[in-house]
Amino acid sequence: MTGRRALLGSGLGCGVWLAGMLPCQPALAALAVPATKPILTVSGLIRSTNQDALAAFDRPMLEQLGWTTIETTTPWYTGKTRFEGVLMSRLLDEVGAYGDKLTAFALNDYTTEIPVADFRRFPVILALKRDGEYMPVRDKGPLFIVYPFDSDGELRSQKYYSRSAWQVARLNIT
Amino acid sequence: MTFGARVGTALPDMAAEAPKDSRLTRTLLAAVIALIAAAAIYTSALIIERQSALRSVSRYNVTWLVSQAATELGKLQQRVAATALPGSGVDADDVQLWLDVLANRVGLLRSGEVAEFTRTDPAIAAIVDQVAAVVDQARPLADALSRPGAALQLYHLLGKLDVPLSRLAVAANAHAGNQVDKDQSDLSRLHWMFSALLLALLACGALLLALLSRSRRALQVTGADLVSANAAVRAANHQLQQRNGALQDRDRELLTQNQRFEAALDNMSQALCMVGPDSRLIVCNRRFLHLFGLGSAMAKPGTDMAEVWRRIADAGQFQRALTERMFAQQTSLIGGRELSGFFHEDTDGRAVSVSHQPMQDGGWVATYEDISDRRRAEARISFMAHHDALTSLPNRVLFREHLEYALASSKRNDGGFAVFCLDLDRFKDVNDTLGHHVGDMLLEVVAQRLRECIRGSDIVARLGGDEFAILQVGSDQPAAAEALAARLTTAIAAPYDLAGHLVHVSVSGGITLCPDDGGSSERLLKNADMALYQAKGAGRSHICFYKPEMDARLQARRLIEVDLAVALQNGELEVYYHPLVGVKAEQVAGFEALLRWHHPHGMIPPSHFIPIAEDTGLILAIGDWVLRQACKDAVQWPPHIRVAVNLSPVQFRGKSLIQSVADALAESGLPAGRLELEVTESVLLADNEANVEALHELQALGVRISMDDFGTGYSSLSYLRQFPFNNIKIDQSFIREMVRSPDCVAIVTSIASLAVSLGMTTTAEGVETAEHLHLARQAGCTEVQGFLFGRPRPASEVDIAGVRTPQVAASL
Repeated sequence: MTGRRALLGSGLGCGVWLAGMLPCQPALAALAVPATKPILTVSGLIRSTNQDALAAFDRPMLEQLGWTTIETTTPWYTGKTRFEGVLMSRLLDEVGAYGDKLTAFALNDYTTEIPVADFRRFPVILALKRDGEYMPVRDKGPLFIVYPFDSDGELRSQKYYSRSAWQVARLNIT
Repeated sequence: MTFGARVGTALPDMAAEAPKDSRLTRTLLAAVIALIAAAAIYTSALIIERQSALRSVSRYNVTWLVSQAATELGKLQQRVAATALPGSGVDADDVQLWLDVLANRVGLLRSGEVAEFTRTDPAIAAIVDQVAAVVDQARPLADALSRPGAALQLYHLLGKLDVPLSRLAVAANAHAGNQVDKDQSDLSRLHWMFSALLLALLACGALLLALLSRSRRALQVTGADLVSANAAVRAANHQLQQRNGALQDRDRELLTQNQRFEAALDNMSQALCMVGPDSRLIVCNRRFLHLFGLGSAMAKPGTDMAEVWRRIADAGQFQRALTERMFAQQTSLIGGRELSGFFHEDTDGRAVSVSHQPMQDGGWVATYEDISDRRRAEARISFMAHHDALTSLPNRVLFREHLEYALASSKRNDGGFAVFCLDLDRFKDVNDTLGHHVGDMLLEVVAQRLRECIRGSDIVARLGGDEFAILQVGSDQPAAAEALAARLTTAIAAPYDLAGHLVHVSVSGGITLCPDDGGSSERLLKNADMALYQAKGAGRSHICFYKPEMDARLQARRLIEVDLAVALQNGELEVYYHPLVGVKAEQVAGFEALLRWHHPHGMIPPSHFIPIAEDTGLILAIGDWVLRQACKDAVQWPPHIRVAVNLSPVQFRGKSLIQSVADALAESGLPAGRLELEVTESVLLADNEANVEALHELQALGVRISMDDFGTGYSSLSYLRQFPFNNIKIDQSFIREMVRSPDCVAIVTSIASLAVSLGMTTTAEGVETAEHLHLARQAGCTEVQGFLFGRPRPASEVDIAGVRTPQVAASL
């Protein structure tokens, strides 16, 4: 038991270490090229790219980054809703983002600016699934920036609601 | 204690106000603090409420969400229209995307917070439903957009939504406005409440300050009060301590005094009780309980004195009559002022003396003493003072009292009485021969016989020695006195059997009658005494009445006493010498010195004044003078002539006899052998041991001792055995009788021959005739003395050579 936990601990530690080193060092592993139709492109101040100055992600690539679940109430749904997706911080690490501002562009031309610091303060995710189902465009898909609103009263405000963009297709780091 | 209580009550009074005040202040303070706390809590709640209100203001903007529906519809319409234009670059996917975007908006309008808005109004809900229906109708058209006319058809379909969505936006706007108004009104309400609360808080603060300041002032006042109260308490405490100390000292002092008092009380020889004005016992001592036989529980302080008295009577230490009399008298004294002393005596001879002292407050203190013993002693002393110890007869003192009483009553009643003075004849001889104890027995029997002779109203007393006196009361005098005298003479003369000795005594007495012979006790006693003297002089065994001439004789004797006292100094005394003649040679052998008194009124015979000199004690000085004179005279005489000097028995009582004789010899130079001392047998009767001793000492000086008047008294031959006399002088009565009585011749002869055999010489006295001389010579006497050889002559006339010749010649 002890040995396994130690191993697990060291693995996690390694992860944290890697994450800490990313802003000041070029990514060691180059981004893979999307095999299917990309659903997200990240541009701007990033170190890892796979298309010119862009980092394009198809759904499997995003899923490859690991799932994180947030169950929370929102102004847009009645009752609690379970969201599953990729941690924004993990995604930005993946692309070696080094700017402090992120601009999200939605399919409906909605644009919002989010300080990168938000992703350090809160486990904000880029949700792919709602209540276990992939979200279609008709229901805020394919990607939805979700804050854990129930975890902090501060989050239940217009400021954070407006940062919670749905139908996200592109991110730009500045 | 009183002081302490006063302090004790004063402080709570002071303190009572302060707590009331401070309790109010405290309550107010607590209330204010509670208010502040409540206000603070409420403020906090209000702040939360305000924040929540503010949040709701900044709530996700429904208006924007709803209005976006119109924007997105416009963009969809634009895309649809663009598809109809060649080279626009817009394809069916774009239309699909925007249709999906609109479909997404419809979903938004139907869920979450927007749904709350859309459900508020059925018209709005209808619009949403209409939009949803249009989106549903558009979808097949969008899928088949390549089909000609489809785009136009879609465009028109979508165009139906322009107005409803605008209306929806307006409604959302209105709703938002309402929401803002509501929020603002909420905020305003909150603002006012907050302000009111702040004001309330301010007021509370002010109140708190006021209360605090008041409380502080109260505290200051209370503090000042407390300080002064504390000082007062300290002062009071100090004072209390001082008083306590003083009280303790006093307590100790009181205790000591109390102990001393109790010790003093209990060690009193008298019983004591102190009674309060309420007639209740305050204190009594141990002696009191003991005297009256009470237990300590029976006379506790506070007991009613009547009860105590009853208990004393019941205890029976004293006869009930005595205690009742005593307490009755004490009761009568209560309320008085003076100290009273009295005593009560019961029939048993028990007596209690009481000293009752009333006190100012109406109470009294009394001491009791059992004086039974003292009374008995007093009675005894009184009896002893008035009675003779041996015979228990009244003594001279009591007799005098009776006499005075009889005199007083005789003066009142004209009653007469007789006074007897009695004297036993020869009692001295009984005493001397049989001893004092027999003498005492005799006196007791005599006293008893005297008592038997008198009547109850008469008094018989022993005046001393063998002298008795009788007071005979009765008017038939002198007959009664004569009868009593006869009875007495007979009674006393009866023989006595005393411890085996048969004794005969007789009584001599004198009687005097009152009022005939005198009116005072001294007079009467003297009268009776003179009569007694007369009776004795008349030959004893005789009781005679007083006669006035007896008094004259006594007066004469008194005169002699006075004159005799100065006779020696006055040279009225002279020594005469009477020759003592030797029978064989008929020559003077010596002279007897004889005293003569040349009283200014004439010669007084020795038989008159010698007894008086003996009675008064003058005999000592006179005898001494005679001794010296005789020695002085004798030393002038031829050496073979001796001198004989008579010694009185009284001279033997004096201690200076031996010295006196030695001095006379030494002064005169007379050889002791020429001095002869003549003593009568009475010298050997009284105190004979000492006298015999004195005679031996005199004889040791070389002096001759001669027994004078042998044959007149007891003439006991035992006297001759007691002392080796040198000479015996045979009484002249024998010599005179020899003429007539051959018996006397025989007696004288035998005395002379006895004397010879004892180595003594004999002198025949009273030789007055030649026949006397002849008989004396015949009887064998050694010497003779008498008028035959001349009368006694002064020293100057003594003729030693010619003493006898003419007379002897004449008589022969």
